[in-house]
Amino acid sequence: MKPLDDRRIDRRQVSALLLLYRRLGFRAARDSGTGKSKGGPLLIIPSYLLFGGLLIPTLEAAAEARTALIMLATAVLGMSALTLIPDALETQQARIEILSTKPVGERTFALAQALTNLRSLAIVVSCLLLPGSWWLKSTMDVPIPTLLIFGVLTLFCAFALQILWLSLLLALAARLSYERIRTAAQAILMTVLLTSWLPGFVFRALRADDDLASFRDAPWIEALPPSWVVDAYGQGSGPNFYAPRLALAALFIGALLLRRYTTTRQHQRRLFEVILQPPAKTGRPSLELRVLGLLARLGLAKGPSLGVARLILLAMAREDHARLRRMSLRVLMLLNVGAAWMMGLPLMAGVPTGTLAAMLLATELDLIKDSQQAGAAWILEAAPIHKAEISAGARLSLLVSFWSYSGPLLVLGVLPSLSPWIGLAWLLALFLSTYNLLSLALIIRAPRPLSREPRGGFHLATLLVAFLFGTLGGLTQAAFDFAPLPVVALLLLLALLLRHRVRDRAQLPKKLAPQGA
Amino acid sequence: MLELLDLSKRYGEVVSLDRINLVVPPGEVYGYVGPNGAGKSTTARILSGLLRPTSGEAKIGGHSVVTDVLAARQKLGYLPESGAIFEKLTPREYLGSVGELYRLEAKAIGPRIEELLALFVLSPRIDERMDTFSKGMKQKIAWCAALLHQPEVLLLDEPLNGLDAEAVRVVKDLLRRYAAEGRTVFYTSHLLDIVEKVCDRVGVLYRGRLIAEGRPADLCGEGENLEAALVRRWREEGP
Repeated sequence: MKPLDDRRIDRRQVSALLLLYRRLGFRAARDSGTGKSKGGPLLIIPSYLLFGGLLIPTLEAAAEARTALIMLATAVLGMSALTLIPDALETQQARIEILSTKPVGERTFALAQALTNLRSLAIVVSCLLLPGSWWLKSTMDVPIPTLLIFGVLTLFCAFALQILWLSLLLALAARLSYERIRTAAQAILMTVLLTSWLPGFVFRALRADDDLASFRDAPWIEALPPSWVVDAYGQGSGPNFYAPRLALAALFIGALLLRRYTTTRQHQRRLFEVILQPPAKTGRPSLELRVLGLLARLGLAKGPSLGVARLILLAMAREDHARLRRMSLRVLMLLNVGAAWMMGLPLMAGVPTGTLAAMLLATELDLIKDSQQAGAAWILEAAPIHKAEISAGARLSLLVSFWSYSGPLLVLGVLPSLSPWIGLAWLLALFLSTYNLLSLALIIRAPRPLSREPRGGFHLATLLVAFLFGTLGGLTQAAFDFAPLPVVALLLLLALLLRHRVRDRAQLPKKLAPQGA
Repeated sequence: MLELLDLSKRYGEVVSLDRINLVVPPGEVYGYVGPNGAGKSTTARILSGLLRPTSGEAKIGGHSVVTDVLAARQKLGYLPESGAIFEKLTPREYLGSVGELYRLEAKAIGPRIEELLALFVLSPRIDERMDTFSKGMKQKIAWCAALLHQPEVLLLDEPLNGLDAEAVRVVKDLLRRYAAEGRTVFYTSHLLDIVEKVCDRVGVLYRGRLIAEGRPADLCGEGENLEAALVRRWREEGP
C-alpha cells in the first residue's frame, strides 16, 4: 500500500466511493425474510414528474416567461433542496463505522459526496422541471437552449441550497435531538411537496382570469436565488447584468466550502458523538397514544387488545416509513379541509366524504402491517393472545389513529354545512362506518401487525382495497343522504353484530387460559 | 504495536474512560474485558479514529489516531461491535469496495476476497446480495472486511457475535496465526471463557478505569477461572 496524503484527492478512492454510493442509493432493498424486492429508489421518478406537472397551473398565472421561470425555479429549488434528509440513526452509524474507519482523505470524501449529491439531485431536478419546461416551450415559446441553461443553473443552485439546508439540520441536531430534527425535516418536505400546487390555486381563486402575475415591479424578488438563476444568462452589461451571476457563484462556492467542512474528520466525529448519545427520553407521547390512554382510563379499551393497539401506535409514531405515509395522508386531508374553508363551500359533503374517509382507513390498514423491525413481531406470535384479540387491537389502533387527526378534520369540513340534527346523525354514521369497515376487513383477512418490512411504491392490492373501501364508503354516504336515520340504525345494528363476532372469536383457547381463571 | 497513553474520554459530565495506559506489543493477543458500559467500545472507537479522546493519546503502529489518522487507519483492521456492512451489496462488491478504499493492488483484491470467503465457508455466496444473509454470515463478511488488507493491528469489538462453532474455531486459529506472524490483536469482549483461551494478556476495565492487567492465569485465584476471578474483582470495586 502507498502512503496516503490527506491533502490530496485520490481519484481511485473517489471512483470507488461513487460506485459504492450508486449501488447503495439506486439498488432496491430486499425483505430479509422473503428476499422479495421492496421497490427501487427510482420509483421516485413518477412521483416527482407528477409534482412537476402540478406546478403548471401556477405557471399559467404568470404574465410573461420571466415570471413563469422565476415561479418554476422557486418551486423546484424549494422542493429539491429539502429532499436531502439526514439518514436514520442506525444507517448513519453504520455508514460512519464502515467508511470513516478507512484511510480516505477529507478532500477525497468531500468530492465523492458532493458528486453523489449532484447525481441524485440531477434526477429530482430534471423530473420536477420537465413538465413545466415543456409547458414554457409550447405556451410561451421559450427556446430549448434557454431552458437547458436554466435547468443546469437550477441544478447547481439547488445543490448549494441543499447543502445549506443539510448543514442547518445537522447543526440543530447537535444541539437538539437528532430524531426530532429528522422528523421535522420530513414534515417540512412532505408539506412543501403536497402544497406546491397551492400558489396557482390560490392565485386563481383570488383573482380574475385575465389578471396575471408579473414580478417585474417586485424588487425583493430580485434579491432571491430563483431570480439569480433566471437572470444569470443572456446578453448585456453593467452591474444589473453581473450581479445575479456573482450572487449565484458566491452561493455555490460558499456551499462547497460548507460541504468541505461537514466532511472534515472533526465534524464527522462530533456527528458520531451526537448519534451515540440519543436522548433517553422519548418526548411527549403522540396524540393517538394520549387518546388511547384516555380510552383506557374510561374503561373503553382494555385487555390484550389495548396492549396490541399501544404497540402498533408506538411503532407507527417512531418509524420513518409509517410516520411519512401517515403524515402525507394527514397533510392531504388538511389541504382538503383548508380548501373547503377558503372557498366557503361544503366541498367535503356528499359521496366524496365517505370515499375519502374509507380510502384513508384502507391505507392505514395496510400500513399497520409494516415495520422496519419486522423480526420483532414474534412477540405477538409468541404471546398467549388469541388472533381475534390481535385483530381487535389493530382495529382499536386504527380507529384511534383515524379519530385523532383525519376524522376531526373531516368533521370540521362537513359539519358547518349540515343542520344540527343531521350533523349529529352524520357524525354517528361516520363513526359507525369506520368501525364496521375495519371490523369487516379484519374478519375477512386478519393482518399480522408490524410483521412486514416496509415496501416502496404503490401496490395493486392496496389500491384495490382502497378502491373497494372507497366505494363502500361512498355508497354508505349516498344512502345517508337519501335516508339518514334508517342508515344510522342499520350501521348501529351491524356494529353490534360485528362487535359480538370479534368478542366470540376473542375467547382464549383453554390451553392458553390462565390456570384457575 | 498499539498504545494508549493517559487516554480519557468524557461525555459532558460522564467519564467514559479515565486515564488508561497500556501497550500491546507486536505478536500479542490482548484481551480487553469489562462489564457492559465499562468503556470497551469507546476505547475501540477512539482507536479506530471515530471518536476523539478528551485527553491523552492513542497510537496504532506508532501513528497517532488524531494527528496522523490516515497512516494509523492504513495499519488497522477494525471490526465494529455492530458488525455493520452494506447489505444491499454482494460480498464481492462490498469487499471489492473496501479493497479499493485501502488502495490494494487491483489484481490482488479478487484473489484475496476469494481466499477469505473460502476461510469462512462463504465462497458459494460470493455473488449473492447480503440483505438475506443470516446474522452470523454478515458477521463473517465483517471479519473478511477487517482482514482484507492484512492489517498490522487487528481491533476486534465483540467479534464473535452470531458466529457458529465452526467459525469460532476458525477465528481462534486465525488470531493465533496473526500473533505468530508478529501482528497485534486487540480483542474486546465480555465473553470471558474465549478470552481466557485465546489471549496472552488481559486488561480489566471497570467504569472507565483499568483495574487489573496481566496473563489470564495470573489474574485468577486458586481454583478460579477468569470469569469467576473478574466477577469477584468487579464486586470488590463496589457499585
